[in-house]
Amino acid sequence: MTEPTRYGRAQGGARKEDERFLTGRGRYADDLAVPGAAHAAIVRSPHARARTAAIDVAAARAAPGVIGVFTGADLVAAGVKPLPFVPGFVGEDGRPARSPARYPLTPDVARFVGDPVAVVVAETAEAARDAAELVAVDYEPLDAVVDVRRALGPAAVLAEPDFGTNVAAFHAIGDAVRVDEAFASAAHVARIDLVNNRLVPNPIEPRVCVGEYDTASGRYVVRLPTQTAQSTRNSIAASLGVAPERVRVIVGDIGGGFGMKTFIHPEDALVAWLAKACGRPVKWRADRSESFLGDTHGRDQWVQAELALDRAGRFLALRVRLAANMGAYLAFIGPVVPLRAGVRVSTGGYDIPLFRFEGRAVLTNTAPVCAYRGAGRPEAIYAIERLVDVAARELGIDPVELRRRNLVPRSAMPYRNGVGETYDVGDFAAVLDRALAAADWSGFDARRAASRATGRLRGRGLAFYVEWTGGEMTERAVVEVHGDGRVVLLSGTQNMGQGLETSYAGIVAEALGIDPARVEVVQGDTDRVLGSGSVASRSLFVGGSAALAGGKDAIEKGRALAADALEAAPRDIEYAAGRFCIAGTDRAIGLFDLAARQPERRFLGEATVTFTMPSWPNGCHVCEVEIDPETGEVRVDRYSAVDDVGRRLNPAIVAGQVHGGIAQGIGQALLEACRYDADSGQLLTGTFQDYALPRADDLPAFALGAFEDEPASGNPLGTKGVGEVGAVAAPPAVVNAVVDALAEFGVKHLDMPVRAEDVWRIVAGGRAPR
Amino acid sequence: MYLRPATVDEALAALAARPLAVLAGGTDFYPARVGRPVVEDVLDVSRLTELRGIRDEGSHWRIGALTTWSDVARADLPPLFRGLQQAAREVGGRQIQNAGTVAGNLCNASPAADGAPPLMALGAQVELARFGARRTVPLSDFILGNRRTARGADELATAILVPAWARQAGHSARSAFLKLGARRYLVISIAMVAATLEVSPTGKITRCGIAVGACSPVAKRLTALEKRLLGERLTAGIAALAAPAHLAELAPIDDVRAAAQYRREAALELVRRALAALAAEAGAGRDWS
Ligand SMILES: Cc1cc2nc3c(=O)[nH]c(=O)nc-3n(C[C@H](O)[C@H](O)[C@H](O)COP(=O)(O)OP(=O)(O)OC[C@H]3O[C@@H](n4cnc5c(N)ncnc54)[C@H](O)[C@@H]3O)c2cc1C
Repeated sequence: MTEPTRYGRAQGGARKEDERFLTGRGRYADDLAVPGAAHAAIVRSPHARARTAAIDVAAARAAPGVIGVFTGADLVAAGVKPLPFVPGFVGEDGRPARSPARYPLTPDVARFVGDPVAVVVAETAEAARDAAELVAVDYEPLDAVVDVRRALGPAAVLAEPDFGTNVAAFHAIGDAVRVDEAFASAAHVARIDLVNNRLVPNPIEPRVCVGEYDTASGRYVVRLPTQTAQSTRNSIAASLGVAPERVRVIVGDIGGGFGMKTFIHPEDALVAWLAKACGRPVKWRADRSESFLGDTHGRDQWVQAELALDRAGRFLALRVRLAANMGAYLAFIGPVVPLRAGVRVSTGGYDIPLFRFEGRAVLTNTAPVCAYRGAGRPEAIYAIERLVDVAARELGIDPVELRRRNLVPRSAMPYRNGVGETYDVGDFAAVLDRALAAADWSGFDARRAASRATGRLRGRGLAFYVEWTGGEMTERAVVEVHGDGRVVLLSGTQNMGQGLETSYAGIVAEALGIDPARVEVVQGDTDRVLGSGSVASRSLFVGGSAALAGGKDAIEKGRALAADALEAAPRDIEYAAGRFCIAGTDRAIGLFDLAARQPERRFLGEATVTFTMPSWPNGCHVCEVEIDPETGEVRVDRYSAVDDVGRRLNPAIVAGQVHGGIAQGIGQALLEACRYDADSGQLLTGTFQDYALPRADDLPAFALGAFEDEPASGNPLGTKGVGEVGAVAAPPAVVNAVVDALAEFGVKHLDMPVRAEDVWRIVAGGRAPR
Repeated sequence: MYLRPATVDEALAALAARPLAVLAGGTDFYPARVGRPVVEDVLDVSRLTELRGIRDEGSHWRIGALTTWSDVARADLPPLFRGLQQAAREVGGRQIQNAGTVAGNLCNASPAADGAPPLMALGAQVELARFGARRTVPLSDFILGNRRTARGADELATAILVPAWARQAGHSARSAFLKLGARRYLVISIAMVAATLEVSPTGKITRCGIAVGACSPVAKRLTALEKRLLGERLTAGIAALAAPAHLAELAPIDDVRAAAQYRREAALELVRRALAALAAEAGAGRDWS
């Protein structure tokens, strides 16, 4: 199925969109000057759980510049519906999964610190904020539950007492009896009990939305940075109780999404409703503090995993129990992340015939948790890769050797893993070898001795991962050829900084044999193009394949039109490099001249592609850390990676994606922790002073190698998703290295983020007091 | 009311007349007021250029109140100031260093202020002026607690005075600063340590100042350790003289950034490293003054 050409590969490193971004000409939602726009400020709960008994808005309403003040009760009275979330999950009792109803403003109970309870609309953002402080909410604080382990414990406080349990959804996979038997007869069982730390996604551009309502047509327009325009539109419409066609979502440039800007957030529907209620466009923009409080968070799983091995160190069975903190409400795809997306790769790159999974999605009084770069796969790979290292250490087998013995061999492809997913292609052992070479694995002993000589501890860790990418496997593309020399590609995926404009322009330009500079990429306008957006690293291989098919269809449509124009039979028309020509003659017409002759001075190609096979990127990352035993400070000294992401259309973009993911993964491993007070539910890490994002000087230069020998079989580009792999692989690579460095102190595991203090405790505990 | 006088006298007259919030670089002032308008009357001192710069005045050095961290980092100063210059390079990031002043850092009196330990270890004094009067207060008496100082409402800090060290022939002095945080820049410190040592021509420590920050509401000098070091020869062995008992006066807190015990132990390790670094530089015959 793979085609021999290298779409877009001829382009150098420069990306089409970068000049716009770098010279300040990006168009972000906050830059829009919407005539007559009023501004919204949201009153957010300061309590983790509280009844909002009475809300006195009189003073706020009387404040200067105020246009309107609304509460959740006003919204409910006006017929606003709760935000939807994906169906299909069940609770432990087998009944459909439940979430407290999430209205754009909560009408009765605030369920986390930051839960929106009221909104003020005013002439200016400042006036709205001032008036928001005058909204007097009579909170009746209630007990809250924060930590997922406590939430599952006996006599736990219930986040939603009516439900009788904190478990919102439950999902099990695999034959428990056979897995139990395998464990009973195993020569060795390795176990790990870990927490995958909660993270705040923190794109550089905070969330913004601008709502408009047109009385004449009865239509709403919402402009916002969303990765999933169509889904967001549908959810806004559902909340407003109108048909999806009555809502138009328009997306401009996006300053990073990382999965957080997917699907629906309360403010998206709120501004639409407010625009109608106030008769004015209404804009809301989060400041950074609001982002910390009110954005969906990522990760936050408690995972217990066990691996059964035989005498030869072969993996027999894997058992995973996880509890995922979902926060106070199920976000649109909240339970999908731990219960469906991540579990697909629970067995990683290994041949583990038997698998049992039990996952619980748990409600707490914290911000809702949803997708964040990797969405479930980083958690799954972290668990298996830590577990394999634990097993290797317990058995005294070299961690590389243990992996080698158990990696799925190339000869087994296509391979159905223990979870039931089928990997189409891959040569995991070759990737592993190449990664070890890139890391100068064998030179480690000398480097460790050199570190020792300066009083430092050095450790190395590796992580092998398999990633599932794809999600929705259908995408459509329209390729418009215009008489003025432009080609416009309409795609339902979404650029958010990952370089899609460049990649798509390259694909279409190559299909048509024209200069990529002629190709404009239009995304994120539900009146012009629908699609499933950019999630799960799907855009290039699904959306890019659609663009390729759309380009080819444009040639076919053009062939028929050219036959007309040249008065020849379509089968005699050949197309090359922007010209339709009658075979064997010099009679020809240019692509754009042909378009100019059409009634609308353009013609269209279009295509819808549907794939059955997700793509399975895989790779091996190797990390070396140096530890200062006296202070516990950990420094990532070397980091190298070989990723099989199939064919790389644009190696610079691939490298950029991998770099960004590794940086976020190192952040998760060593720096980032979103912490709530365990009793009060107050967010303790609500600013960048307390929530440490990695900076350039926290990272070494990354040495990246490529592996293109196993292109994806499921799409014509041969590509696999690359957007998330760095964030999947880096956390286990780093933590494995830290644990290795501390091996002499008998440490088995350290939870992330591994802080200097945690390391210091291990070292200090392992030597005489001074 | 927003005043931006051009002379110190005008500024002091204004302060004498009514309560005013003093604004220098604004890098503490504005973050303390996020999300709310400035309602106080403001005295913006940024035009008082006479207060900017570092001068050698013989018996002491004068660091004008408007001297920024960048000014300190770039100034051509003797090794006595190495520690303060190291601190200057680690305050916030470049933008913060360009705007933030040393005096603002002290007047803001945060337990994690990076300026306090190196200036305390230098034995610095704060010069305070009110209309018609001027006084100096030792830095250790100036900062009273978290966000509390000895500055009267009608007083302006006009300078930080650092006494001259190594005034006897053949003596030399040098300082060092070390800071521990989750990250190197743009984080609140877990612990920081500053040490100033003066040595005689025979290599004996004749005067010293050791101070620890972020481990108590106010940065503290380790007077017991200072006493212990006097008269000792400055060699690599000196680091081992620092003992847990010398840090007894610290009262570190447990918080989301670090536990008290870790802060205390890390501070001890940083003290030892600062001393070892100074000993190594002495051994290497680096320039002292
Ligand atoms: C992002 C960021 C990072 C930071 N990182 C660090 C860090 O790493 N380490 C650190 O120590 N600090 C840090 N700070 C805090 C701050 O930058 C420093 O404390 C700085 O030195 C303050 O100086 P300023 O001139 O900006 O003071 P301002 O904010 O103008 O004033 C601070 C206080 O001092 C008073 N004041 C100022 N000058 C005088 C005067 N002459 N007389 C009387 N009162 C006066 C003001 O009234 C105010 O109360 C950081 C701040 C930010 C925003």
